[in-house]
Formats: sequence, C-alpha cells, structure tokens
Amino acid sequence: MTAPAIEIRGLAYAYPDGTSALKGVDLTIENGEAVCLAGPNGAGKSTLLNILAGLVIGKGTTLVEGLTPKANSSLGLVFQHSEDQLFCATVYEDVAFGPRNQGLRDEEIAERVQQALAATGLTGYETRGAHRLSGGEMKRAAIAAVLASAPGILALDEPWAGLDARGAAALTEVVWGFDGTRIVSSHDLYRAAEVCDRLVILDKGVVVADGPMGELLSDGDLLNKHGLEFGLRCRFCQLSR
Amino acid sequence: MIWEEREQGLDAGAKILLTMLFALAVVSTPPASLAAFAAYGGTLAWISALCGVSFRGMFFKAAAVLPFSCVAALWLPFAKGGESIEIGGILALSRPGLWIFAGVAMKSFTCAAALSLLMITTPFERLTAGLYSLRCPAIIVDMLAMTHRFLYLLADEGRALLRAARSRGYRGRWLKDALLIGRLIGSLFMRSLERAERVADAMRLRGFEGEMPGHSKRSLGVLDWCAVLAAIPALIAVRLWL
Repeated sequence: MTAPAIEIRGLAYAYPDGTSALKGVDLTIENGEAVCLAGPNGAGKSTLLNILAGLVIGKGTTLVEGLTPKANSSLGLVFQHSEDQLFCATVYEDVAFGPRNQGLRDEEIAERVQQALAATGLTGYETRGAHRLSGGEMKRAAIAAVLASAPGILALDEPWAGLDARGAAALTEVVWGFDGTRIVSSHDLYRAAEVCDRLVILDKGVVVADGPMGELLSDGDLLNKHGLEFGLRCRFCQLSR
Repeated sequence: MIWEEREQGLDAGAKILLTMLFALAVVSTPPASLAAFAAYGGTLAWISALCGVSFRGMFFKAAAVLPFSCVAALWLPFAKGGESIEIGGILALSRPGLWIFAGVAMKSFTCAAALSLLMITTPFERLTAGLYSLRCPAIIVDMLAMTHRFLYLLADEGRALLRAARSRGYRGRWLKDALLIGRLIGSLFMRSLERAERVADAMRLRGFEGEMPGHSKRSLGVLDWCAVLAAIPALIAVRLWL
C-alpha cells in the first residue's frame, strides 16, 4: 500500500514570538488529489505549506509521501511573492537551478527546462531577466522553476493574488495541467474551484471544514463565518447579465 | 573582434587574465614614463573602438575613481621631501611628491578604464564563468554572483521605500530629513534581510546546499593562451623601452 501524499496528525506551530499559528491540524491528502486550503488571513495556510515544504518544523506528525518533510523533497512550493523565487540572471538559469542541484546531465537539464517552460507557456523566454517579466509571467516562471525539479506534489501559496484576469486564467491552465497532487492555498474560491475537487477550511490554526468543493461552496453561512465568499455580489452584476 | 565576440572570441577568463596583466604593467610603470602611459591609453582606445564601445563613456566611468585615489594621495606633494616648486611665493610643493601624485592619478585612471572596458564588453554571468575557468575558489565566485544578484534586490527594496516616502511628501532635504533618511536605511536593512531569507528558502527548496550548481567546466583554450602569451612580451616591451 502506498503512503498518502500528505499525512498530518496533531500538527502545531508557534512563531518565535509565541503566537500560535497552527493548533493541532489533522489532514490526509491522497495521491493525485487536488485540494484547496482556504481561510481568512492569519488562518495558518502559508505556515502549513512551509511546514510541508520543510522550511519550518512543527510539533506533531507530518509526512510527505511517507517521509519527514525536508527542503528538497518531492513537494514543490510556489511562493506567494514569486519574485523571491527567481534569483538568477535569466529565466533559463532560474528554471535550470533545481535540476542542476539534482546532479542531472546538461542534456537532461535542457530537456527539463524546455518541458517546464512549455508547460507554463514561457517557451522563448529563456534569455529574459526575471525582473523584466510581468506579474503573471513571473508567477508562471516561478512555477516552471518548481516543475523543472519534477515534484510529485505541487503546492501554491495564493497563486492568483495580484494577477489580472488574463494572467489568472493562464495560471489556472498551468495548475490544471499538472498531473500529480495539487495543494492550492487561496482566498479566490472562484479560481480554486476550477482546479480543486476538495476544500479544506482553516481558521485560527485548526481545520474547521473538510469536504467536496461543490458541497462546501454551497454552504454560504460556513463560508461567511470563516471570512470567505463564493457567489456574485456587486452593484453592477444585474447590468452585466 | 577577438575581445568582443562571445562565442568565437576570447573566454572571459582570458580577458580577466589580460586585464590583470595590463594592470600589473600599469602599476609597475614609473610616473615619469609618459610614453608608456600614452601606449596604455592608446591600446585601450584601440580596443574600445574595435568593440564599438563609447570611449567617452569609458572615460567617465574610469574618472569616477579619481576623487578617491587623488584624495588618498593629496598629501604627497606637501609632505614628501626633495626638490620643491614654489607657487606664487606662498606654496612650496615637493617635485617628487607631485610626480607620485600624478602617478597615482594616471595609474588608477588607466586601471579603472581597463576594468570598465572588461565590464562593458563582458556580461556579468560570463565574468563569473571566466573566474571558474581560471580555477578561482567556487565559494568566492558564488559569493560574488550572489552579491551581484542581491544588489538588484536591495535596489528594488530601496526604490519601493523611496516611492512610499515620496508619496507622503518626502523630498530628500538632507538636514531636515536626516532622521527620516536614517529610518529609511534601517527599514531597508530589515526588509532586505527578510527578502534575502525568502530567496534563501527558495534556493533550499530547489536543492541548494551551499554550492551553486552548473559551474563552468570550460578551461582556457588555445586561442586564449595564445592571446595571454602574446600580451606578456608586448607589455614587458612597453614597460622596459617606453
């Protein structure tokens, strides 16, 4: 029997100043699942992703594909601020950074880079500097950089934040095209519903709801109670119909 | 052009080596050998013309070092002994001191011009690859490459802070705003530190364990060694006979 992609039991984490971010999270994500982590600001979503990526260590049991998380594991994390993830002189160098650290040969690295750039629609951007990319392109380049390491699990922290409609749609396509397990932390339930089948709501460091996306999205009271919303509500919605 | 072509021409390592040899010849030249300095200047002007580099741009870049080098040597005409030159009957300057001062200015300017030419004609990533091909310790080259990258991040953070301050009426009047400038610098330091930590996290996530991957395995080729070996007698000839 293969281990689930993610297995978390009684996970707790407190910041160095003593503030509790997670207070006993239990969560299992099976291989191939597409899960949205939603919740209000400060719910602990980013902290949970950082623990899964091995960047910080929490108390309790956390297993990623049956192993204790470590920084270069099979989970690829895309940061909310993708400019922090692009630190090389060119897009090619950034995308090749992970495969190079895996000790691959130059031909394999080039192949991985081309595949990752093609998957994110960035073919032809190889020689561009990261600082010259738009917000959407930068986000896709960060995903390409993660995909090039061939992760089994793709985790994205607020992937649609700050993107225009076109950029967000392009990003949705990229996330949708990923074959493995997907974990998306987002407030944007409209976009998340396109790529995730399961919704996990975190609030004040605990899991308050966990179920099929369609079922939980129809519970307006639950969403409102935890600072979320799903459904058109604007002054001009009648006009646009 | 051999100096400029990136694929067919000299390896960046050879260019670094040539620049170092050139600088060594310049700093060992006595200040009175004006013909040698003219030859050095002529060589730089010739290479910059062949590469299509603006000589004026290179001149101004190199001139930026003069205030620092000249200030450091400014005391020499006053403190150095030997034959003195009277200026207007009130100021006595040492002739050997003046020569040394002129030598410092000429040497620093010529070396800075050579470095400018190297920097203008060679992208930074090729320079680091060149240092690898010269078997420079990887830790030093990696630190250099990261410093170069972090300078841009630092500049980004600085611009963001300045924009925020200007949007609230800051005009950069030094004395009046000294306190604010101090706070901005402190804030820049903290933000840069936090950003550097996030970049380091991103590197760790992609398998970085202290050594930058993809070090150039290229060594200097026949053309590179020929250029270096040809430059050595030429520089010795200029140094000894001009």
